[in-house]
Amino acid sequence: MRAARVTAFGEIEGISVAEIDQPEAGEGQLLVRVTAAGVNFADAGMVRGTNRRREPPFIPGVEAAGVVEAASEGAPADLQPGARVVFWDPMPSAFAEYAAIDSWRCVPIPDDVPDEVAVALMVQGATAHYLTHDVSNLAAAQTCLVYSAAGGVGRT
Amino acid sequence: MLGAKPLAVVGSDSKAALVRELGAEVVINRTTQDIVEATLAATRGAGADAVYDAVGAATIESSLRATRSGGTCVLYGGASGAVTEIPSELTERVNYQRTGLATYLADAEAFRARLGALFEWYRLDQVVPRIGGTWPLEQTADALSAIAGGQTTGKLIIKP
Repeated sequence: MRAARVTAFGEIEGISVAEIDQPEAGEGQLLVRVTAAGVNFADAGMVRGTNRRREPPFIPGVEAAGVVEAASEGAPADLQPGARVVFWDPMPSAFAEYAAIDSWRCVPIPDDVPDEVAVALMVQGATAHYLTHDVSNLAAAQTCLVYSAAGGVGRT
Repeated sequence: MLGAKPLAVVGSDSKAALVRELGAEVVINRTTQDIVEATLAATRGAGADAVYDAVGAATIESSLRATRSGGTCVLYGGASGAVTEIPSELTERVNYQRTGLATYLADAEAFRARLGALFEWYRLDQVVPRIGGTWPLEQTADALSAIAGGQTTGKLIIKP
């Protein structure tokens, strides 16, 4: 399969795209054919080595939408081959044609939600959700200061 | 969507124009305005009830000063660098928390509950993601350079 590769920590321009072996779905995992991967600011730190998650060589990218190609035994009924899913995994592997991801990190995408929308709702949407519902319980008429307001999820 | 009033912080005039267009009434350009002064001015001197900061080292002191007494200030990332020491007089007057997405997406139930709520918001037009650009896999480096440069808006996508 084709995959983006970081072979040494360093400048972003050092990312190469190469033909490598396709991963297999291990125990508890799904093999996902990636259709739309999400780019995050934190990806750059993983490539440069300032925010290390994996040692090189590795495939960057922590979230994507795609289609389940193969499911390990015991995978949920709604995550079987053919299912459209979105996932987030802080250990990067998403900028590739295929990714093997723990099934608990995968959520089926409803028919009326496009892949790009599902990806946009993954990291940025889930972040906005926990910030406003769990960390703080934001109520009507309260004020909140939001940085990076022009970023991944818009509309207030 | 929650009825709360956002104070939208951005890093350029063009981003300010974009978030105004999206409905933000109070927009603060952190490159030309003082965040604390602008927040106090927009909240009758009280400070914001909640402050969500993922910029980190460059902004956390302003964020804490812009939080109202007893309000919540959340540090959930460090785009400008990791936060090390913060004067205790700043953290004592507010509910200050450092956290991250892994805490809130820790199991399948959390993934499904949060995405379920977000899909519903999307259906109800309460959250409208903007796609800021799409790159083929071969141009992954270009996509990452774009987001690292701070000039992009919306969600960036790589299509293998």
